[in-house]
Amino acid sequence: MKKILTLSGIIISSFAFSQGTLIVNNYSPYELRGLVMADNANNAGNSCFPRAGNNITVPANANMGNGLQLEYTNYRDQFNSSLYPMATWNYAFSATNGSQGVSWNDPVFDPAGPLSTTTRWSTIKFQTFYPGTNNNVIGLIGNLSVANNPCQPLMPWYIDYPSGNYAEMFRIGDITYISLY
Amino acid sequence: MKKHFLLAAFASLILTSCNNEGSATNTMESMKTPQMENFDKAFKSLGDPQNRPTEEEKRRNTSELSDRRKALLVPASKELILSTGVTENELMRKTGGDMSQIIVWATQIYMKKSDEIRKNIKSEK
Repeated sequence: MKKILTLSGIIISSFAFSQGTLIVNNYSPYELRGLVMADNANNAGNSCFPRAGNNITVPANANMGNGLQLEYTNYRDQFNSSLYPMATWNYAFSATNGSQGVSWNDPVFDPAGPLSTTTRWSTIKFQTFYPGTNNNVIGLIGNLSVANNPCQPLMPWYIDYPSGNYAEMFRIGDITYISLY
Repeated sequence: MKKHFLLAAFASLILTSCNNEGSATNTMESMKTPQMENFDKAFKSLGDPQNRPTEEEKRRNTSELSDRRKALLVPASKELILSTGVTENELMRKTGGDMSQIIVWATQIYMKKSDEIRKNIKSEK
């Protein structure tokens, strides 16, 4: 019973924040490097502020299968829980009110604060590289945003590559997934 | 009876861990429970050609994964949740049978379990 209570507590508390969790599963043999962004789709009329993001690197074949997926619970707590801790974020509340390279433990990244509660993971602009090199995989590159995101109306939520690779971005409940096959 | 199963499970765990000693160290893959394995496989299978979005799904105007593709994740998600001792009734009561809630719950269990495995592997080294 206690277990169930704890579990439901975890579930309820994770639903309380709109930002939700980001999970990146890289099933491809290439390193994925990209700019991941969260925005406020409810403020599409005003450039989707607030927004936040930064560059991530996910190693080749790093996914839930081997426990090496990238996982960010929120801007702040990811630093101590993720295998790929993000030390700083860039954010903007408006065109004139924002900051670059702000430390993860800055109060602005409080999970209950206005930045966290109004933004959701929505977009990635990525490239791929041969592991351990700076040689990019030609063609395996792209911009993805979840379907029906008014902040990125032109970006696809999936990409079928002629090489047979496949990439997509979608949500299940409060979790946003990015997958590269 | 349950105790015996647990004992047996423990014994086999110890045996496997001894077996692996000297050769390769334990990996996340070798330490996963069958339910975790199936859950992971289900997720990975979303990229299989037949499970990729259909023409209709490609035109969807919601960020949420389609019900058809969620349904591919539900059996393994349920199995994983039930493997923690939660009963079918509790599962239905907590989630109302909602596919997203079932998958999110299972994902949280999966992440927690894989975290524990990773820590165990680390402490063995």
